[in-house]
Amino acid sequence: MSFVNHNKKEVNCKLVYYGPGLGGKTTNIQHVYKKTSGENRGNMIKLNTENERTLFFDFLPLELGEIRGYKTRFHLYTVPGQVFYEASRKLILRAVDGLIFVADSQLEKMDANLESLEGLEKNLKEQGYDIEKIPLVFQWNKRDLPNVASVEDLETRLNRWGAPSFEAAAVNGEGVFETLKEVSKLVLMNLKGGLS
Amino acid sequence: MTIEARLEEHFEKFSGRNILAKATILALSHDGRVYGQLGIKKSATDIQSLGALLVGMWQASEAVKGFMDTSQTDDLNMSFQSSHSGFFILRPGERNPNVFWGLLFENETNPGKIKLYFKKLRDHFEGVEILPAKNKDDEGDGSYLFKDITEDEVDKLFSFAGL
Repeated sequence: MSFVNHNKKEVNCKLVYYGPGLGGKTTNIQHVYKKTSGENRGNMIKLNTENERTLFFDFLPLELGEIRGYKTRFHLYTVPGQVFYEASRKLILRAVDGLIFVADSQLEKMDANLESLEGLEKNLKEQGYDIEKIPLVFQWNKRDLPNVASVEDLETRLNRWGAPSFEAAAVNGEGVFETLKEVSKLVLMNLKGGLS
Repeated sequence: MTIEARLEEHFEKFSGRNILAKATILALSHDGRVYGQLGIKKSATDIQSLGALLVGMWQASEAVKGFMDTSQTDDLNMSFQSSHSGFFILRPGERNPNVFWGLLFENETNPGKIKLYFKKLRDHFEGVEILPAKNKDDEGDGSYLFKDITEDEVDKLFSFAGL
């Protein structure tokens, strides 16, 4: 859950990258890690299986700049995408402030995208969240590969809420920061606690 | 007074402070944010990772407990240690239900004693509200903190990445 400390002029928010297995969630935050200097980010934590699949979560603390005098800190998490890690995904969604759904654009991955999105809706609901009210951004990843679904098709089948969306090839860094910037903006604009 | 200052001030009054002086103590939120640290201080970046990992482990352990028949929850703790080094997590006390406690210790001849005093420290903090009831300063006026953020402001936030 976001935390606004007016004394210290600091805001802390939790972002979660969600999506099907091998869709590029870890690749997204790896790119953020690579592009960020030491003073802006902490250690990237990866809790992986032996074959480099996410077992529990990846974690990257990120110090952004200031906005209107408030220092902003984001904690980026990924969930494990493999179907049988549902219990872990539920844990990581706790107290989430914003979501990036990383969809795999390849045609054969549409069912996996739909299954993951369905799981996200269900898990959010179980924890009292409404997917329509939480800041959410879609990323159509792997646009660099052949045999991808059209963006129109992805929008129609996955983005039923008309959330902002971005094409990406996270492996090359394309679209990674565009997605992160958009969700960060939505999360910050969703923070309560104004001082009029 | 900031949360960190409140933690420091109350720690100073703890009679077993010297016994814990070589350990790192973290006060953590339910989602792994670090309210403050006592004893041997870790770097600002390390404590963020530690917070996420310690609370993540606690949450995973609680989920495992959900597969068991027991409903007992009042004296749960979590320990990972050798005979001289390790870490220990305590659930929140009653007065500070939003504060988890993490302890990291190294090269201790008597880890049991460290853990005992860590529990006493958690109990000692029951004498103070670490996160005082939200006041107007914390709550704001209930409106949005940042209205109408511009693209330019977002760009500045991410300028560190050379975008």
